[in-house]
Amino acid sequence: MNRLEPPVNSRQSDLFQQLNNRYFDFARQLPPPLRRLGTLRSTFLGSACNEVFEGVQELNPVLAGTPWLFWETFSSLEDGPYLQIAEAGTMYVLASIVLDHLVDGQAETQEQMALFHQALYLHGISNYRSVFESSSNFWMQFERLAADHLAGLAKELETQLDPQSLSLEDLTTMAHGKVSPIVTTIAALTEASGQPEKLDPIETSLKHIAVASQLLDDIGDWRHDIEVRHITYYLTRLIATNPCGSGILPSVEEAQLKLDTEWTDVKYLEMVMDLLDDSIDAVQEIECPAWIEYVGGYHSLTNEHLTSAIACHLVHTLRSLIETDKLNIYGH
Amino acid sequence: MMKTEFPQEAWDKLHQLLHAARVDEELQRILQTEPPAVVRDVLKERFDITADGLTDLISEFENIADRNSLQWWSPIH
Repeated sequence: MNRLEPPVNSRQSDLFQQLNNRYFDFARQLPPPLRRLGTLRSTFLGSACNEVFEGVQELNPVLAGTPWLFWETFSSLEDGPYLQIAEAGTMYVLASIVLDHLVDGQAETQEQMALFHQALYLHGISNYRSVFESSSNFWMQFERLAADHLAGLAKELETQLDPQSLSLEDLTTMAHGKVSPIVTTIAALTEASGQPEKLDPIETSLKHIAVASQLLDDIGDWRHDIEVRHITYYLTRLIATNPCGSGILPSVEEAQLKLDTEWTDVKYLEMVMDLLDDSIDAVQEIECPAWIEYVGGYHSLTNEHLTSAIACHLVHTLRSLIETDKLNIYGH
Repeated sequence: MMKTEFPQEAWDKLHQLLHAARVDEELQRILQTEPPAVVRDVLKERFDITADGLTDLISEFENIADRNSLQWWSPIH
């Protein structure tokens, strides 16, 4: 599910192959150190090794494959503008991934990554300019979404400095900011296809899944986040109500105790389920079966994780009953 | 998948408890905060689960918990 499934018809397939070719054409013409970054999986996927990046199909479909996830909605566009927007969107979104790694300190080669970001960003903008005149309404949406993106990244920096104040509203701002470059691709497709009314529902759908995505990430990574001292909203929910000391971050054991006592994971997985429902509801009036299937797939997986989490808590509770019985036997 | 050595009746109880623990907030509260004696009574009264069946039940819940030790994924990251 984290890889883009091969497009199902030949036009889809041809266009996707051309997008891939265009990415590698772009990467090949970069100066050597940046060219290397463009061919490494670790640049986008965070794997700490020198594996070769095989193409945009390796990325989560929402990142580079957004036009294909909404194929029925936008396939009326001719190949030229469709591909030009897909390329612009991919480059702009990839630039945002690199920027994200830079901002959160994950990038290993900061200087090169900064230059690579610049190259991706400029290439993305250049492609958007080739499709939209400066007077196009697209640029108004572009500026709005770019401001959201910046606000989300800035909020993330702010919350790392003051973790105690991290609220659900902050999480939402950060998630909406991170998804903004993807929404920008949709803004371009709706504008170019003469369907501006479809931007709002698709944007709403993407924003819901963005918050769900961030929560899922944080629920799955909480132990690692404690180890690397990365504050997330979910982690702040695992801090005891009356923390000892400065109350900044719990130990893994303290957080586990809180989680076992309050079933925090269950509560937030339920929230994720609701957000994914909302994401699907938002696009009910739009023909986008691939997108609905995509979100629905994550809904099913979240449901399985929720069942698993409850089973885990029941094991804990039932074991404590057996332990109590043993103590009573010894006591007698 | 149901294991043959786990009786259907016990399997039904397991799923009833699993479902109720998900949708019934009061049951959640009891499981999370009430002392063992209260939890034991609730399990007996609502699900006919007694001390004798706890070990098998735990084993099955462990299977369910492990079944989903899938890699964590998120729709966008």
